[in-house]
Amino acid sequence: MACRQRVTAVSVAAVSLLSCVALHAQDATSPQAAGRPAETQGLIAVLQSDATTFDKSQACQRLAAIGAPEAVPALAALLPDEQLSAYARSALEAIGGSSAADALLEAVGRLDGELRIGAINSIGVLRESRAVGTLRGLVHGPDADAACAALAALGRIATPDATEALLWALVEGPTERRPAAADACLTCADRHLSQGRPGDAVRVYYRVRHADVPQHLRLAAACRTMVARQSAGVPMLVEHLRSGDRVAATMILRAVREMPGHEVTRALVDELAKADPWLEVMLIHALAERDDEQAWAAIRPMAASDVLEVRLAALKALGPVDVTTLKFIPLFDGKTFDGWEGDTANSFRIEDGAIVGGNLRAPVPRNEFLCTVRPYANFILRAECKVISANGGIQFRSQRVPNSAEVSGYQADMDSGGTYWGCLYDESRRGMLVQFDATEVQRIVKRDDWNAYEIRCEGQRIRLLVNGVQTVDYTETDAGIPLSGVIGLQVHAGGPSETWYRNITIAELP
Amino acid sequence: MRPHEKTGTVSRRGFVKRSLVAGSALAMPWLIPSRALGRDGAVAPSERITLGAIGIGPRGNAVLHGMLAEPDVQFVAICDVRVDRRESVKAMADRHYGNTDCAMYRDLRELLARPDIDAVLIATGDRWHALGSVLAAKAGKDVYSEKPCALTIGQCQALADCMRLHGRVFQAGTQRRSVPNFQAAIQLAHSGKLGKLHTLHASSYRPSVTHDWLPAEPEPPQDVVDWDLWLGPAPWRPYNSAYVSGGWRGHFDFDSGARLLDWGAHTVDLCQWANQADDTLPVDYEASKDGITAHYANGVDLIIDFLDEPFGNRAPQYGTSRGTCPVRFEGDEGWVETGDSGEIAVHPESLRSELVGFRPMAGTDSTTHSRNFLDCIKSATQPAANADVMRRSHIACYVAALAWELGRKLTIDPVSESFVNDEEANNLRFRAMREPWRL
Repeated sequence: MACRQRVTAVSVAAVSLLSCVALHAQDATSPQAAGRPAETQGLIAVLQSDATTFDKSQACQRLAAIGAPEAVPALAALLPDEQLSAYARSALEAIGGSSAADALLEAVGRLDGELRIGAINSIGVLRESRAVGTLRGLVHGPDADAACAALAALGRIATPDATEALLWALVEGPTERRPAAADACLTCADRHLSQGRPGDAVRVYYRVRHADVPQHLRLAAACRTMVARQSAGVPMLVEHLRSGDRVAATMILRAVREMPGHEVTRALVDELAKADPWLEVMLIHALAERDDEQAWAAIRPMAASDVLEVRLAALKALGPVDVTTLKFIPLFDGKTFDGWEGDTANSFRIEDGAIVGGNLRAPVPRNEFLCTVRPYANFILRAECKVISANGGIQFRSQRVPNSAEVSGYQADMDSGGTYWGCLYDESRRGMLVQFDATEVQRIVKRDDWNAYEIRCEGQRIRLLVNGVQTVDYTETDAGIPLSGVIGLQVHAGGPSETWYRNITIAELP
Repeated sequence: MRPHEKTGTVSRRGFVKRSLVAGSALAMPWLIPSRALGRDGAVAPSERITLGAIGIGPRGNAVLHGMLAEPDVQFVAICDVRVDRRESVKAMADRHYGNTDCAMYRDLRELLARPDIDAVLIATGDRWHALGSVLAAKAGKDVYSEKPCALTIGQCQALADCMRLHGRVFQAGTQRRSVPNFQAAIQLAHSGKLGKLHTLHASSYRPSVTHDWLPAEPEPPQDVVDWDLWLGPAPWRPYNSAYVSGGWRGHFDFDSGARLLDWGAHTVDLCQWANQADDTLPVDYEASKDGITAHYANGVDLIIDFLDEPFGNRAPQYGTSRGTCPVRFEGDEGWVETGDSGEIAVHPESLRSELVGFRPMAGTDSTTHSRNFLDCIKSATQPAANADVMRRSHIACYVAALAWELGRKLTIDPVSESFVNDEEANNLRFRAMREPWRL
C-alpha cells in the first residue's frame, strides 16, 4: 500500500501535542476511523498552542481533510490572522454546516479589508442562506471590494432574497459594481436552472441582458437564456444570427451546442439559406457537429457554392472528397492572362484558347514560368497539356526565386519524349522525387497530342494522374517544405519547342 | 456511414468525435479569407486577435513564440510578477513588431481590464492557472491555459463551468492532441484495427509531494518580485527565491497531484481520447509501487506507469527511442505506442500500413494547438482540448493522485464527480483560496 508520509518540522513545544496525532492515512474500510476523535483533539491543541505558523498551517490542512466540527472554534480564532486565515478557511469550508457558517458570519462583522473578503468568499462557498441579510448590507455599503465579494457570495446562495439583492445591485447599484453584479447573476441563474427553476433563471438572465454592463456579459446572458429555454429559445437564436454582429453570432452558435433537437437543427438550416458567406461558414460547422441527416442534407449543396470559403467549409465538414461533387473553377479564361504573371511579352502567348510557352522558331534560352498571382494550398488541379519537342511542367505549391526567372517547388513533369509524364519533380530544390515507370508512361501518354493532367494536393499527400491513371502517390515528410504556393506553367530551356496548356481548372479543398 | 460516403472510404469523422476534428493535423489551418489579406499577406486589423500573456517563463516563451508567428495575432501586453520576465518578453515582442508598443503589467487585473485584448495565454505556475483563466473569462477574454489547468478537482469543475457560463473559448495546453503522431495513434485505436481496446498506458514520473516550507528569505521589493501576487490564491508561506524560479514544483500548495500531472495531464488525456471517453472518466483507482490502475465502466483499464527514468531509459514499460510522454493503446488484436520523438511502434507490424501519413513534429510543439485555438475564436467550433475535455482528464489524474496519497482504493461517480464512501477524499477535492481571491 503506497502511503504518503507527511514530513513536518515541528517545534519542541508541539512535539508532545503531536505525538498522539495519527499522521498516516487511515484504514480504507473506515474513513471515519476510531482514531479520529483523538487526532482531532491533537490538531485543535496545536492550533491553540504557541506552535509555529507552519505547524498550525499543517494542522489546518489536516482538519480540512478530515472535516471535524469540533475544531470550528479553534479555526475561527485564526480568521484574523493574515498568514493562517486561508488555511483555517479551507478547514471551515470542508466542515461546513451552521457552526462553520456562524463563525464566518461573525468574522465578517468583526474584520475588515482582505480578511473580511476571505470570510465572505467562504460564506459563498458554503452557500449559507442565513448570511443574505449581512451580505445585502455589504452590497449597499461603501466598501466596493466587500460589496463585490458579497455579490459573488449571493450569486452562489441564489435564494429568492439573494436574487433580489443581486438584481437591485445590477439595476440600481453603483455603475462600477454592476459588472460584478452581472457575473453573480449569471452564477445565480445557473443555480436556479440546475435546481429545476428555469423560469427564475430566465428572469435573472433577462435583467442582465438589459443591464448597463459590457457586451460580453449581456451576450453571455442571452446565450444562457437560449439554452435554458431549449426549443423555445429558437427565436433568440435567430435574432442573434440575423443581427449582423459576428461576435453575437459566434457566441450564440457556441451555445447552440447545448441544444440538441430537430427544431433547432431546422432553424439553423433555415438561417443557412439566408446567411451571408461568413455566417454560412459558421452555420456549416455548427450543423456538422449536430451530425443528423437534416444537417448533412443542408451542408451537401454548399460544396457547390460560388463562394470559396463556403465550399471549403462544406468540404471540410463532409469529410473525404467525392470528386464528382466538386466545383471546378477555371484558372485561365481562355482569352487573357488575368490571374497570371510572367514573361507574357516573349515567352508566353495565348492561341486557340490555350496558353503557349516557347516557340518553334528559335531556341528557348532559359526556363520561364507563368505563375498564378495567388497561392493555393489544397486542391485538385486539372489541365490539358501538349508538349512539342520539349520538356514542360506544371508547378504547384511553388515560390518564385528572387532575382531570377526560376521557380522552386513541386512540378508535375511532362516531355515530348514521353518519359517524364506523371513524374513528380522538385524544381530548384530536391530534384526528382517520384519517377513513374517509363514504359508505363509510353502506354498512357499520347505524344505530340493533348493529355489530361490531374494534380491532387491534400495536406502532405500529393497525387498525380495522367489521362486518368494515377502515377504518383507521395507523402511529404520534410517539415521544411511549404504546403502552399503558386501554380506555374513551365517552358523549359532548350531547342525550339512549345508547350501548350488549356482548360486549366481548380477545385480548392479544405 | 453517411449517405454521401463511398463504401470502403475511411471517414475522417469516424476517427475522432466531431468536436475534435478541428485539432487534426491533416486539416489546413483556418483559411484567412483572401479579402482580409493585405498586399504583403498581412492580416487586416479587424481579422486580428489581440493577445495578452500572463506569466511567461520558459514554457510560456515557447508557446508565445508559436502564437507570434501567426499572421492574425497581435501581441500587445505581458503581465508577470517578475520584472526581469516582463521586461524580456516586452523586448522580444518589440523586436518582433519593430516598435515599442508592448505594455507591461505586474497585476493581471490591469491587463484583463483592457477592452482591446481578445484573448490571453496563461503560462504562470500551476497555482494561478484556474484563477487566471476564470478572471480572464469574466473579463470577456478567451483563454489558452498551460496545464495542469487547475490544482484540484473542485477547481477543474469551477473552471469548466465558468467557461460554459461565459461562453468563452478555452484551450488547455495539452498540445499533443494536435500533434500528428499522437493523432495517428488515436486514429488507429478508433479504427477497430487494434481489436477491442483493453488496456491504455499513460507514462508519468514517480509521484512525490512535499509539505515542507523552504527557509524564509527577505522579500524583494514588490516591483522586482511581487511575492503576494506570485502566491495569489495559494495559502501564505514565507518567501524563498527558489519558488519563483521553478522551485515550486512538488510543493503541495503549488503543485497538486503529487507531480503526476506534469506528464499525466497529457498522457492520461490521450488515453481518455483513445477510449472515446472524453465525457466520462475511470471509476476505480488503485495505486501500487509501480503505478496506478484505473478501470472504466466500459471495461477498459487505464494504467499510469511510474517511470524511474522518465528522461532516460524508459524500458521496460515503453520503448526509449519513442521519446518523452509515451502512451500505448492495447487491443485484443494489436497495440500502438508513440511518444514525443514522433516515432510510432505497432504490433503486429502489418498495422503500419494503416497509419495515416503525417509530418513528424515534436510532442512539445504547441504551434498546431495554438492555431486550433485561434481558429476556434473566429469560428464557433470547439478546440481540441476544450474545458469539458480538460475537466474529465484532469479529474482522472487527480483521483489517481489521491489514490496514491491516501494509500487506498478510490471509487468515483463520474457523473457527480464525487467519491463513494470516502469523506476524506471528497474533502480533498477542494481548497480555499487565499483572500481576496475567489473563483
